[in-house]
Amino acid sequence: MKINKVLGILIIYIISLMLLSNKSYAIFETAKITIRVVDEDNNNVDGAYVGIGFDDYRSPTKENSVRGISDSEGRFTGSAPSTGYLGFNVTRDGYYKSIGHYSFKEKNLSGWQPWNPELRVLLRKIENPVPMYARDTKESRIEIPVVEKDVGFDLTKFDWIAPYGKGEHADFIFNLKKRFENWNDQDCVMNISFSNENDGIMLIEDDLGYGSFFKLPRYAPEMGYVDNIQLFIHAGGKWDSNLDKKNNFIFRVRSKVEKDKKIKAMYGKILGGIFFGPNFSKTATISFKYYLNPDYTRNLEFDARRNLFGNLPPLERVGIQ
Amino acid sequence: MPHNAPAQETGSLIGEHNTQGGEKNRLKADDFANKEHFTGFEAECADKYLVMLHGFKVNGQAARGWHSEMFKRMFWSGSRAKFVGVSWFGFENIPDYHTNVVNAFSTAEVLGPNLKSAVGSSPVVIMAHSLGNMVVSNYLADYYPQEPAASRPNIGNYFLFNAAVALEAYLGDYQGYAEGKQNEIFGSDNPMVHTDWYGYQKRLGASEWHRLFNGATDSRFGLTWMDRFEGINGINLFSFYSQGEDVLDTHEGNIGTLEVASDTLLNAGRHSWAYQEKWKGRAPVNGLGGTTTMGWGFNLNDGYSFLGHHVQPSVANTYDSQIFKSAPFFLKDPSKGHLFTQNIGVVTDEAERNEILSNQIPALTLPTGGREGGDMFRKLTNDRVFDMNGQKYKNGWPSVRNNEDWRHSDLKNIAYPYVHRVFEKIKQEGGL
Repeated sequence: MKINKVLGILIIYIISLMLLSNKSYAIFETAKITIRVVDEDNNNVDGAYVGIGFDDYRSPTKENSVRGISDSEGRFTGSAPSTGYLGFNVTRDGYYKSIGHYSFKEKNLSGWQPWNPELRVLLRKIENPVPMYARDTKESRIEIPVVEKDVGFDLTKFDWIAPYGKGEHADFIFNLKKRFENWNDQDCVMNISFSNENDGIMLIEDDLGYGSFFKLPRYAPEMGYVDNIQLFIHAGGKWDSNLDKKNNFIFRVRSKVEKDKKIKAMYGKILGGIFFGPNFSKTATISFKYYLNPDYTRNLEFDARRNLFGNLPPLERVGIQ
Repeated sequence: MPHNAPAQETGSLIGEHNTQGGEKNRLKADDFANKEHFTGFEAECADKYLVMLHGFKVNGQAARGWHSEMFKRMFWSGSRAKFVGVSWFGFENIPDYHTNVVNAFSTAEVLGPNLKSAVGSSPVVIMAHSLGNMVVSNYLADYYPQEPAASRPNIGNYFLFNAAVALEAYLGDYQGYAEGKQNEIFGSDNPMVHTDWYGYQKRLGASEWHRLFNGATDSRFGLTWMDRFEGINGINLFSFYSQGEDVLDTHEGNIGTLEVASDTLLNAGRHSWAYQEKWKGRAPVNGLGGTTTMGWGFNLNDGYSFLGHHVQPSVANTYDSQIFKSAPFFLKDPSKGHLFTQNIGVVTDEAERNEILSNQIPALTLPTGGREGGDMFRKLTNDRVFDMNGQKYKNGWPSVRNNEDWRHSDLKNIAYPYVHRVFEKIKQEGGL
């Protein structure tokens, strides 16, 4: 009886010390999570390296790190003191890296809730990256030469077609209508159309911030393209626009119909939206990041080491996203 | 003034409560303890200046750390511009954020002449981090246009980094959030709204109070963050934000306890910026992560309470807006009786306006440096707005950081090889 009493006092004493210490948060602020790694066929991926950074501003690096390898079921579980948010990365040889984050909902005496949620993380295989013409006009700036007139842009020459440049193929045809007083008082419309009957573009909405570094489908679809898109900014009291970095695109240019009635074309993708900016230009600057595969397959997997534009200046180089 | 030091520091421009003081100016090599370090530098430098201002919770010594790091990184990136680091009082009474916002406004008032004395007539590129953007934006909007061209610094470009300034200060009511929608109710559609105000019409809130007044005759019309910095003109702005922000991260829902907010601000943790906005008018003690009047506080006088609690939205939403001029539904500041009148009210001066904005008017939009910072493309065009969290500006990431988000101060905290592209971009766009 006496021993129990002493033990009880001791336990209370220890708990009190812990509560008073700077480390007491660690007991109640522990978060736990399971990352389940899968491939594009939803098969478990074992042997993947998983790194989790549990947000904690009291840590020198502002995170408490946990690292490990996914098991035969693709799972890795980690826990650490946290302030309720975490970020993670998953890598494995032969796959594109994936990153993500998670916010816990609330904290109680058992730690951060939900306790040990399972997050499914997709790792995409590196299969067949090919050379492409890849350019980001935000870094290599272009400006539409004229307003209210169709102007073709050659994606492989990275230039306007004559008489505004040395381009040969009007892959994209831009047409700008512009009324601009200031950024908050304007009506501007940019139309994008194509040269050939089966050319076109397809919208794919996706916030590219997290997930696999390899974005959008591996292969361009055969159908579903539209022959033009209109981008607009209407501002006059209220601002209205469909410019959005979540608007990604797959496009088809230089298309021909073969004898077997199949379409032969170059396919490509645009990541992070198409923007135009009339603010500081007599016409408008146009910014979009494109990848054009010239091998006439629908493959959209880019090999960043083989950009067909050659050795671009460092800031103009384009990665896989 | 001879400029024989490529790196300079102007001391804290405004001391605590507007007194003089702070770090001493170091404008010449002789002012530095390691003056021999500068030998020969002058000949290498171009006749251009890069000026840098730090943010909140950076004391005089930490400011020197920021300045040194930014100068080195720019030099490594090929810039040969001379460098001026400006320290200001952003470290007063931590975790009191709002006092330091007031300090930022006060610093803006004296920035021009001090800067001019440091840079002369040379071309200037100015960059600011976090709350330092309140200083620079206020200076460029309110004071720079008033200064004669010959006696002001020759500023061409302004780079905003992780700006701790509400988007509405640059873009106005750009989301059409409030204009013509005063009878709509506050709700979860806007993460900046305090949850206790869900269900109340927007016209009842402190952020919309200014709309009751005639802009031509009543200076209370200026008590809003919307378009606060619309006066910036003729300078090229470039905004670098991060979708992976922690300090400026979007906070949704209940604000939790003041202890959490205070602790978060003390440690510059996730949601710091949102917390200080949502705790305006809600703190029991001024400065402990929040303020005590106006903001999201409720007025329990003037017939707005029932059994000691503010009346419910179903009742409050029936009140006529005109009575709010003298008896607002939000918590009045008893020390500012001159504001709460049915007659023409007078905001005493610009300093009082800035103090009220800092302490008592909650922003209804997210911060410019945070997750929605890409919205700045509307004013700047997409060519001049950069998400540092994108892979474009990361060259890998340190293995000690499993969370690969670009956090609030990673411009300085992450080793140069991982983040060098941002500095190369500053050099390129700034012509440095």
